[in-house]
Amino acid sequence: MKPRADLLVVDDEQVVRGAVRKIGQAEGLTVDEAETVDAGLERLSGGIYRIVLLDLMLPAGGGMRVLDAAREDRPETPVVMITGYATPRRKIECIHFGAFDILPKPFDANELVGVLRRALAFDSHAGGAVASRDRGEVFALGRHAWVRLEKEGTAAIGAGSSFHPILEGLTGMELPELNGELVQGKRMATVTSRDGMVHRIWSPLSGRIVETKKTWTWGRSLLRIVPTNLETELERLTRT
Amino acid sequence: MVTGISSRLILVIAAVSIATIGIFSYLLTDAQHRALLSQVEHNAHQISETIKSSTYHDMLLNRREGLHRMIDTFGKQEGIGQVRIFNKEGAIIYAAEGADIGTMVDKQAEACYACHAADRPIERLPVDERSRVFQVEGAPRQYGIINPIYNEPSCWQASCHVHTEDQTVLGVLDITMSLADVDRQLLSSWIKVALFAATAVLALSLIIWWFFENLVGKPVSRLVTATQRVAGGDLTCKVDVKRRDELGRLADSFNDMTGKLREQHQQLIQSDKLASLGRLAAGVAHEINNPLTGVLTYSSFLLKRAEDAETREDLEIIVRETKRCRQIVKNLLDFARQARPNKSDVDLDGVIRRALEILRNRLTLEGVSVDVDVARDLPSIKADRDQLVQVLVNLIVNAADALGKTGGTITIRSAKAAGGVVLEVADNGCGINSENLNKIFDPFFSTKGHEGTGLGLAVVWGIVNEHGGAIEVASNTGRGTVFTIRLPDSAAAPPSARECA
Repeated sequence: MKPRADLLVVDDEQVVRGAVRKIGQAEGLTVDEAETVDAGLERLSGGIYRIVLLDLMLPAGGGMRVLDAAREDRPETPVVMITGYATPRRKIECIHFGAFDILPKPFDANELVGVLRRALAFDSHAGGAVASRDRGEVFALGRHAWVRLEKEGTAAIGAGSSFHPILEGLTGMELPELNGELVQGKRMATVTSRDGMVHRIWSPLSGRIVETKKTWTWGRSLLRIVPTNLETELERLTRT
Repeated sequence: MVTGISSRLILVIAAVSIATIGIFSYLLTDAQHRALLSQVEHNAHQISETIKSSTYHDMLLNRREGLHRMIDTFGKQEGIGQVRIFNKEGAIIYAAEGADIGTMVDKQAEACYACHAADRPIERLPVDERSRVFQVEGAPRQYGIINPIYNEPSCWQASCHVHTEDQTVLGVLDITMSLADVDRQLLSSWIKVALFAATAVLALSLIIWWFFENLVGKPVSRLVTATQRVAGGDLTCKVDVKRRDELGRLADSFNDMTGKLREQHQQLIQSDKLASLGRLAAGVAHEINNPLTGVLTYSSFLLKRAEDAETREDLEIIVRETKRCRQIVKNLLDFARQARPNKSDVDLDGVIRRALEILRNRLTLEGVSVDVDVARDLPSIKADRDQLVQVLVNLIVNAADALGKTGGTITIRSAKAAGGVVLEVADNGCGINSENLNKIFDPFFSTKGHEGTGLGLAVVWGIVNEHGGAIEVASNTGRGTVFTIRLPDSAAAPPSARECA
């Protein structure tokens, strides 16, 4: 089936759809729009898209319904959730239920372009096991981040396969301070890719930061924490 | 002012004292009456015996003239009413008042009654049964005593042969004495006792009333007034009863109660404020984030394409300020979303250490020294450890800000308190003026300008409140600020579970 367009944006706010269209087109993408859940579902069943940008807080069933349908019909299509009410819990749930990433509103052009480029470059068949399981059990937050529980009681946390495309030539990486608190679903790291785009990594676990890495090597952790609420939070992660 | 209780108390006391004094007075005057009568009796008996013995000789010789003279003489003595001698038939044969001589006395008359009430006359009577008290209409009471004159050998052997040998009683000597003096004394006693009783009852009532009013009435009426004011919604009123008795304790408890009520009322207002703010924040955030997305995406998109330096500069401002808006909304949402505490047994020591660990770099950098004064064997408390750390971090950051660039000392103290623990964060920084002191827990109130979100202390307040605790602040401008947090220990029941005894 021939792609109908590169990008489908489902949002009930015209200004958001317009901005996405403008920025997408500037990226050389063809953009299709849907205003409602039903229109979005109809679009999705009628054509193939390379990326879907989906508002979580849609009337009549919400974005989760569209996400479910997209995951069912086209599991290889990355779905990026956008929402004006991005609680840590919601972010974790969206990614856990198959979203490629979640982009809290309001976002700027670079943040949007960053996630679009990353999603376009992402090879859904590649990746998989990001971290080695040799040194402990590994749990994944979708393709976004992973956690390895170490026998010392600490947890190593790293970025998931959705960040693989930007690993080469990172120009900036911002990690929280040592000893600081990490909260599941809140920002764990901000990285700037070679093209100047900004990407945020949401933390898969809560805990106290005991180690931060200076550099990021693929498959290695970014930081190490002492988890504070492991049992409950592991429920929203997937054992690999 | 006479309150209901005091007048009732006075009535009861007056009734009891009137009854007591009345019975006592009756017994007293009765005893006096008896004593006086017995004295009269004694006198009368003596006089009677004296007359009998003095007339003995005249009687024996049947010298009637001498007898008359003697009886007249006795009859004229003060206090003696009548002196009469009856013969066996009841005829008065001698009397001090001569007119009576020859008249007959009926057997039923008061003088005869003692012996003749029974069918057969008694011949000998003890002295107390020979006397009687009687009153003739319009005259004072009288005391009468009869003295029978018995037949003796010398009587019937006398030469006159008036009496025969077989007679037992030859006649009766009857003397009456006026009781006017006795009655006067009794009346004066009664008047004295009554006056005393009335004065005593009045004085007792007044004294008790005065004490009652001062010890009970006034404090109670103050308490009543205060209760009415509290009922009317004025929680600031205090009862001024500085005493150590039960009413003093009651007043103290009352003041304590209104204080606690006031505190809880304020807490209620505060939580209400926070709850409505939370709802508002959630609504606003969702609504405002969409238009903000438009502004931010378009402006940042334009910025990427703009080549003219001035346009870029302007666009940068739009992007920067929109991002600031984004941060404000984010803070608002974070605040509105404050999670319910996830409680477990927490030791306060660990919380303090953790908070200081997080802030160590910053505090060192700013030249702030921290004194930690932790009480030993503190009870563990049921709390959300992370939230408590957050509370302490916020308070310490505020304290460090108050110290400014010059540095200073922050003192963190923990102590055991009734039903829980107390945590204190004190600094010797710039202090908070009284105008701001009431607002510091309000969301978005900040004295730090763009630096602060105005949510730090509101978050602290929210967390402490969720833990069933309370937070107080005391500050002196230029001298420093002390925040005091009270948290219930794990054993303490939630307030709703407590019952009044």
